[in-house]
Amino acid sequence: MEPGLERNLVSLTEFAHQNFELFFILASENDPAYSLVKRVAASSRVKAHVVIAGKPASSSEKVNNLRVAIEQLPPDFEVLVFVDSDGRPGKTWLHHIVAPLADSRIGATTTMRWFIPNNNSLPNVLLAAWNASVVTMLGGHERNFCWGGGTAIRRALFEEMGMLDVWQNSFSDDYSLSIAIERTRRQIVFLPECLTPSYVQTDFPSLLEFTNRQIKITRIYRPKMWATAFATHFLFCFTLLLGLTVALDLTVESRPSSQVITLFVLPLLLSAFRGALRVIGVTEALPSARSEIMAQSWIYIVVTLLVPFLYLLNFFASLFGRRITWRGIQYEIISPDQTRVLTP
Amino acid sequence: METLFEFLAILQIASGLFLLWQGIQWLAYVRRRLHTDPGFYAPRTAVLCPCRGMEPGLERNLVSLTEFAHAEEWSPASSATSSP
Repeated sequence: MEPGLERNLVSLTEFAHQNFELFFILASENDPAYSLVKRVAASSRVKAHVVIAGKPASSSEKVNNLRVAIEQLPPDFEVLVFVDSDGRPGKTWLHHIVAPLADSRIGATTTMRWFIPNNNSLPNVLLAAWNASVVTMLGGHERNFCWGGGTAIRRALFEEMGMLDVWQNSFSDDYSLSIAIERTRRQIVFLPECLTPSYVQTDFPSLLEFTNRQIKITRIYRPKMWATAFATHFLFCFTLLLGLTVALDLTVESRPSSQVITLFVLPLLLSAFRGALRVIGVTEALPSARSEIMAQSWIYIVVTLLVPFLYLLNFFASLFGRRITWRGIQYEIISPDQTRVLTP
Repeated sequence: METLFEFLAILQIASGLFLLWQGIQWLAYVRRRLHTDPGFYAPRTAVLCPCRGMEPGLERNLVSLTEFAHAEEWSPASSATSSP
């Protein structure tokens, strides 16, 4: 027996709540969510602050909110964790996303949202299926990118990269952060154990606004990735539409079309299999939402087959202009480090 | 047109098989991560949540941020590691 063994072991079982404070940041006290945020902060078990950041001058409101809050942070905070208000992470989420940062080779840890539709309306299921394909872009490789709704980074690295300056004129918090981390040649580690359920309720205009915005931001911040994805989706959709035309022609001409139909169905089948693999992985990573996800698994397996057409629409929409509307504010993204706020 | 379709379809099938292989690798990575002990590193952390406007489920979402706890999966009793 070592001296004090019992106390040492007991201390390991007594980890209190994660050592954190919360900062809810709004641009203005006139925001409709202000009173709710104040109420949640007041009743929080952990110390929660409400920060009023003011209106953005040359960045998106989200980026400005983050900048202002970080500028005011006391120096004793060692790690910054960025979350979105539309996600619902589990109790151990914070510990899991912060703990890997003990390894100084890691630049940031990140995860992704998993949309769970509140009902099965077409816009809701399309959005859920659209987003599901993004989840498998992240993995155990070096091509990961940060997702602004769930990223942790050491404050020292954040400051070393001069992120507050980078963000000063930036529209996208996460693309800017990813690019800065890549320049340091550090890893961005994807943590599937931190996947964040997000319960969605959308309509067609909001679906298009959201998906078009994401692709337009990608065009400006990651033009190569955008071009590759555009070509890939275009070819997939073109092949399917061509296959449909050929199969119809053969049927009308009473010629055998089984070979064409087989070639038409196989890519769809492979895509559906991939969707099923995603569902298996996500239900294992999110056991608390397993029954909900399984009940809607058809969305992630079958509706996924329509998603390339939505992506194609997004890619065509993203070809034109640099104006983006985000939560009621219109912006013009002139370049990755130049943003103009067009409407208050 | 038929030949063009056959050529493109074969390309799509090849690409689909590659993506399926990547999907299998992704699932293996997920499983590997889920069995990884997160460790004890828990420095002082600022959780930053920008908000704008009301949205369905906002209160429940924000409350979930106030309920973070340390992971409880690991305990000394469940560790297989021992030292002389």
